[in-house]
Amino acid sequence: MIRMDIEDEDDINKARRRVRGFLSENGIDRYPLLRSYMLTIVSELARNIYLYAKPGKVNVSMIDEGKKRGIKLEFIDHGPGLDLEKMKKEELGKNGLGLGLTGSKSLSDEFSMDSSPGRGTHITCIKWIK
Amino acid sequence: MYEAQRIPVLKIDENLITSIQIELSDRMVVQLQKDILEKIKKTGAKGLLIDVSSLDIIDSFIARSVINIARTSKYLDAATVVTGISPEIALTLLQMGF
Ligand SMILES: Nc1ncnc2c1ncn2[C@@H]1O[C@H](COP(=O)(O)OP(=O)(O)OP(=O)(O)O)[C@@H](O)[C@H]1O
Ligand SMILES: [Mg+2]
Repeated sequence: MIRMDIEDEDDINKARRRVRGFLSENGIDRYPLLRSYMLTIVSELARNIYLYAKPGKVNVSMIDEGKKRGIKLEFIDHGPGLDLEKMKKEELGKNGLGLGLTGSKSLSDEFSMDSSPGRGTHITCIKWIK
Repeated sequence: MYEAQRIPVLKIDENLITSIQIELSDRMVVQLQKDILEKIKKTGAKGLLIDVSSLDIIDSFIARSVINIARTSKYLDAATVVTGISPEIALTLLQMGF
């Protein structure tokens, strides 16, 4: 498992580099598409922490569930939080295209977001190795 | 904050060529965008080639920046060609909804 702090812009790149190493060590280089999905999610959601909720943390770990093996990415911050319901209507993509969150969800097999205004945001993405 | 590392933009005949060989930070992408547009204005280049074959990730920020460079270049009468997008990157962008 690796844990990273996201505080300044360089931490986005550091996170990508650390995750590259982690994926290599765990044999994920054999799955280039999976690797690309994971690196992209890390880049998107680490950037979101940097832009909207710094400081925050990124944790990456391998998980086993029965015969399934997967990668779990966690993004934790104590920033302003966001209201997904409200965002669907107006806020999503106010700053960019709004592809960071929806894109990360599409790249994951399992995606959960726990966020409330004032308390911060905890996003978990899981991708199973097929 | 130290100055952003710069990606070279070369002029060959009527065209500009840039090959992204190092890990991109957001700051470098913004700098590259500026450098390319200034160089097109200065040289009147008619074509722009951006080679991304060394990149193992293109996230929404980088993708959007490349699209912006191509759009703006078009206004300056330069056509953009992007080469070297790996199949994984293409599929990732597609899956994200690009
Ligand atoms: N960790 C977070 N804490 C608080 N607000 C957030 C967080 N992440 C995202 N947001 C809010 O959700 C919006 C949507 O995020 P998303 O990443 O989908 O799009 P974006 O960052 O606006 O644009 P893009 O990622 O496409 O460049 C953001 O504009 C921001 O207002
Ligand atoms: Mg974003």
